[in-house]
Amino acid sequence: MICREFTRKVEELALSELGGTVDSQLLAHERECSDCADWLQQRHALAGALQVLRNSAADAEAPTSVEHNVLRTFRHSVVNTIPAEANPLRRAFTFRLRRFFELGAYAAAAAALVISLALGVWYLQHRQTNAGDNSAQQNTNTTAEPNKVIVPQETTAQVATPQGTRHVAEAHPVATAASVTTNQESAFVPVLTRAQQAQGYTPMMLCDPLSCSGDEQVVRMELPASDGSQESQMADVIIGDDGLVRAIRIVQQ
Amino acid sequence: MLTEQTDEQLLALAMAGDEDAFTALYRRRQGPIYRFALHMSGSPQTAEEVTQDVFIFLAQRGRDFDATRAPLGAYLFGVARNYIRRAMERSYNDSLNTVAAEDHADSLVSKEDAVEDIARGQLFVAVRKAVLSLPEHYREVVVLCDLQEFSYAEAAAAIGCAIGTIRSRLHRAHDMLAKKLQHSAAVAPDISGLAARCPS
Repeated sequence: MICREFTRKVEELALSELGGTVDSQLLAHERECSDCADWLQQRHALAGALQVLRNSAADAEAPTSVEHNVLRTFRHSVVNTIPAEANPLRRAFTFRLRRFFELGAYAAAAAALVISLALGVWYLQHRQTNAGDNSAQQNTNTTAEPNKVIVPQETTAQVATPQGTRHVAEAHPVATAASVTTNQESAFVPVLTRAQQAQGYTPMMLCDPLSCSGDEQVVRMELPASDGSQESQMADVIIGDDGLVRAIRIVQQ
Repeated sequence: MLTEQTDEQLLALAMAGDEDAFTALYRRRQGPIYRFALHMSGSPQTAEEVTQDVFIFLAQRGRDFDATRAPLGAYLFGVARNYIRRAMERSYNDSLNTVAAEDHADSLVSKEDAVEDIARGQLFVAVRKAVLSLPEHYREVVVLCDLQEFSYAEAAAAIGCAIGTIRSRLHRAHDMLAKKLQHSAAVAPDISGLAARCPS
């Protein structure tokens, strides 16, 4: 055995085991090598010194006050937080508490749903009411100015364009002015004043009363004959400020 | 009956609210934890605080313990190491530790054989100073293996490292202790020449 092996084998032993070793190879090398014998003697001395330190605290324990503090903490932390399954005394109460919160969650969800529905209905009603107010206000304006707008029952107008093609403007049948305010489709109606209708004008377009309420002017135009003859016809055309034809009246010459 | 239960069984009972099981577990494990903290810190006050903190931690967080990862004893030593480290960082004081060691040395002196007891007391102080002056990871293995007689496997489980690491650290710690004690006049002649090393 060489010194390195001797050292390694000794180190595998705990210090307290050094005195009891009976390894023949170790003992033989210890007899042969004085350096290793001295080193082993040092280890024995160190083991003895540590033995003194170990014996000084061999029976040392924490004082009883520590145990009291620990147990008091245990009672406060563990017993109060153990799961309900492990404590039958608390099981029923915990179950009721859990059921209470579950029912509360259901009630809150139902309340939120009801409130959402109520708000939706209120919003729709409010929106329709606003639309009704606007229409009623418009109706009021219409009735306040009797020469402003009339709604014909059913009107069909045919106009021959200069290029010879025909455009047909068909008015939607609208029963009364009141129905215009409630029927979204009939909101676009031919607009013609009573005076213009009395003068023989024929409405030419479907017009939003709001956008067609601007200024108008009457222009006399010469129209090509519709039957292919050489004679042209004169017509008075009412043109709105947007450049679109509102109505037309054939002038008999 | 509770004394026949394993640590893990006692902990399971304790976490279910059994105070007797927790008391039995405390009384079984508080001694090694206290002595480990005492040797590591050199201060009985610190050892008491660490012991109390370790078992309070166990009471509050015992449900987090996973028996498949390590035995409960090793788990407690791991917790104790952390608390000792915190305590040493918070209130480490060499003079206090020295006073505590010297106070303890006085208790070793008896009237019957005063000369021998004084020598023993001086040796105690010298060894304790030497152990406390070791770096923490060397001090741990000395405390566990030499002062608490843990096997290498038990020390490795407590510290959470390989057995080879324990062995190499212990070898290095013994060399350091020998050098420190060589310079101590209190330990002559028994430990004089400890630093002499086999040249091969």
